[in-house]
Amino acid sequence: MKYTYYPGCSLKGTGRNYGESLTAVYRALDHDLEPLADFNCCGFIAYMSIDQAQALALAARNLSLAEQGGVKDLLTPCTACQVVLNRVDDFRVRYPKLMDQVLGTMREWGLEYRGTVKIKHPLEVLYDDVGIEAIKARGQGKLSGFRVACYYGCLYNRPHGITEERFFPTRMEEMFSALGIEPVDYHLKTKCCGGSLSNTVEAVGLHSIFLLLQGAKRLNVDAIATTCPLCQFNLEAYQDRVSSMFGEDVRVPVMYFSQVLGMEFGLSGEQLGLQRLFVPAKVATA
Amino acid sequence: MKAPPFLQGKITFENQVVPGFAAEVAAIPGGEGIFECLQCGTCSGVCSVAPYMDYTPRRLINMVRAGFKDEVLHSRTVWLCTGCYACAVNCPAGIHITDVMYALKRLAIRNGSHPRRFPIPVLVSEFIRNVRRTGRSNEAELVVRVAMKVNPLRLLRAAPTGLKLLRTGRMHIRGAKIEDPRRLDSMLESVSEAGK
Ligand code: SF4
Ligand code: SF4
Repeated sequence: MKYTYYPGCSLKGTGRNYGESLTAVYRALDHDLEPLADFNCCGFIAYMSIDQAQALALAARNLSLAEQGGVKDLLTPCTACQVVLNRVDDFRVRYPKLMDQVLGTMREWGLEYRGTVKIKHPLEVLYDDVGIEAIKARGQGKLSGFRVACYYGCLYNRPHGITEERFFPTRMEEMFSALGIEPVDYHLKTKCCGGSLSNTVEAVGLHSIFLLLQGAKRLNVDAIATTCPLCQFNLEAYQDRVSSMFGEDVRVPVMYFSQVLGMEFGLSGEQLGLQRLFVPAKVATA
Repeated sequence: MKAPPFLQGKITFENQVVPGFAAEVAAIPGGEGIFECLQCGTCSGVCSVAPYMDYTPRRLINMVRAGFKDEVLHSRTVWLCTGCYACAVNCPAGIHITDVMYALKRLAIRNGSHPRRFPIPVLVSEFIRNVRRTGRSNEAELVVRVAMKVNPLRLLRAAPTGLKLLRTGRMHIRGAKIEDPRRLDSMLESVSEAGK
């Protein structure tokens, strides 16, 4: 089956290896993953603080492109993009007048959106549509005993998504367990990484990152697996700084969940973009 | 009348509150629920940045209701809010607290009352400039521009990370563009007019 995904700006930049590994893993399971053509910035959290109508229009343009291209499920690997794109449908229900104005004006510019596109995280699609059985069948036992802290970040299931999973999602753990990988009991898995605070109010941002890394490190993990490019970057890029700032070595590999899956499937480091990590995982890969 | 010097900045007197502020916030999408707040404190309890805020989310909401406009719009709280939605999904009164925080950010910017030299509003405006010009955002350019405006020394500290990103092929000096950014820009302008 062919899926279309919304890369967002970070999968074209710092999260490049997220896109690479997702595509490779989907391919290994006989599914094609293609980026949405001519997508624009999702309208990110920051945009909402300046102009609400414009933020919604940016998100809606992407949905409109997807709808016009016949896309039903738009896979959205970045959980921040996911929230922003979801907000269009959320606001259609809560603030119909505002949304009518926004979508009405967009129509005059040739961008129709009727609300038929569903936003889904690629992990959700692997679990729900591809299925654990198919994933298990593809496993090669390469990572048995590999200890992973599954970190979903704050937005994976909030504010949309499955209610029971808002604070305790388990799809990644279930998938890894089925493959013989060892997910640890990581209690911080939906705590916010601080988002852009690491770059703005460092005292707060770096402290949040430290707490998350320390929590995982104390569980003696081989790696942290993430579902969001912002989380991955925050947890990986500042490790040296926070280790010296807080006087505790919290350095640990931080990978995308798709990279972990891909390693288990026996895909090459190159295909998974492992060479792009700052802190390489110590595993016996092919 | 101004407060005597030894009390200034510590106490807000009745004559300094803005009673219409609550209604102003309640009229913004997201704000309509503030009068239902029970002051239970759940939002503050689940908020991971509450310990760093000057007023916790619960307190901020009550300050809005009491008309503490100046304090609210100058607070660090609204800028520290990362938009994680932990509060919103747990509020027993169903208040969309995260939306309220966005609304307050917009008000603070329009009012010119965000804390000075606080990097977040700078980041926001630079980000938007970027998107309006190309339709996408360029992370590298953004980091450099924000640092230049807030504290250029930061660039030195960020340099090793920048180099690592370049070396691992995770940073582009020249940002990507959509096919017709000018058209998108014009559309955004007209959408903004319509959505006022
Ligand atoms: S959780 Fe809701 S009801 Fe409770 S204090 Fe916060 S805003 Fe008010
Ligand atoms: S959305 Fe903002 S106020 Fe609410 S819990 Fe998250 S950081 Fe705190």
